[in-house]
Amino acid sequence: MDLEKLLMQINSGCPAPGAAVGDLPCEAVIGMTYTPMQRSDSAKFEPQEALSRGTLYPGLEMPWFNNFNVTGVPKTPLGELQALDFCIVELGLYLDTHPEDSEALSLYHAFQLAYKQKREEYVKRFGPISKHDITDDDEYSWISDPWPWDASRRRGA
Amino acid sequence: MFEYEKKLQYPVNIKNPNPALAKFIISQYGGPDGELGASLRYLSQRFSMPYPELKALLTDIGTEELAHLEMIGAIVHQLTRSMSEADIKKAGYDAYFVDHTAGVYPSAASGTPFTAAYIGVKGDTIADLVEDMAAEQKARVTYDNILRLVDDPDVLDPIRFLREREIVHFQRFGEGLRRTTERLNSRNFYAFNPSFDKPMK
Repeated sequence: MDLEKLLMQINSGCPAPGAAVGDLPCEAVIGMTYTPMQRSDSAKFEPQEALSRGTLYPGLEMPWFNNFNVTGVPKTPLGELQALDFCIVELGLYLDTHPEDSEALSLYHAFQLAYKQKREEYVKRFGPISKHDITDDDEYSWISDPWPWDASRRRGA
Repeated sequence: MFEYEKKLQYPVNIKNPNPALAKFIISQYGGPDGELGASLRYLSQRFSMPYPELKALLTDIGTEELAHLEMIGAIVHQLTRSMSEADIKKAGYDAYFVDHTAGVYPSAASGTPFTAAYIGVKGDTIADLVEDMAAEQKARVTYDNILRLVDDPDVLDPIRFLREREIVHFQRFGEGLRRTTERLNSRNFYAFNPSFDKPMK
């Protein structure tokens, strides 16, 4: 059946569902998960704290047995970079489901700008993060230890 | 395409190797509710997603899960570095060691190797998003259980970070499902499959 016809049929088949009471299939809205959309004015952590806590939003923080991270992510060159990167990832997910939130979009731009600046400084001092960062230095610095999983800390950590 | 960034999403710096912890943390690498399954589930489901918000959401969360997979790999690697044969026996790491030495192999805590049977790609918008929400809850519980068994703060911090991400992802998938049902008719959410049936022009 063609989809347009199907939609017309659905619209004329049942009386309009009013309040969520009554008997299925016609008088009530069928069961469906309901997730409240996060509000655009949600409180936010500062980047370093956001990364340590695993979310930008205090309203979404639900620690297990109320245990919070003890050490926190240090404000080292790498730690600052990770924190700004995290804010871009976190705010990006929010924007995926709230693309019309212009305030969040401006904040996204601000994080991007700050990240770009920190990243440039970091790469200059400690070496490439991506293969596009390889410059015309003498050595092919991409292969330099330590790699992110190594126990010896990455430079700038 | 994907491009590697030579940094972790969240720092992993474990001072004291402890293969006894690696034995069960490996489950979040290749276990039933682990990060490998999570990334494959979302990055595979996205191809049939019908709406721009959902294509973006599945791509972004699937990509973040790859960063989590790397973190779990780093934790297991650092917990099992410089082990002596005596350490291996004492920690009960011998069964894993015989098959994989100090390599990081995607398997469950029970030793079962990773399988795509852990994930679902149904090709139906509602079914896939509901699966994703359940998957985030199951991963959250796995991290709860890991937190019960660990007392090293160097391990606890990244695990708590990963657990919190499951909660945020659950919210986002819920919002994605809400965006979906808002486009459908509440008289019959299941009249057609938006991932497959496309409106005719």
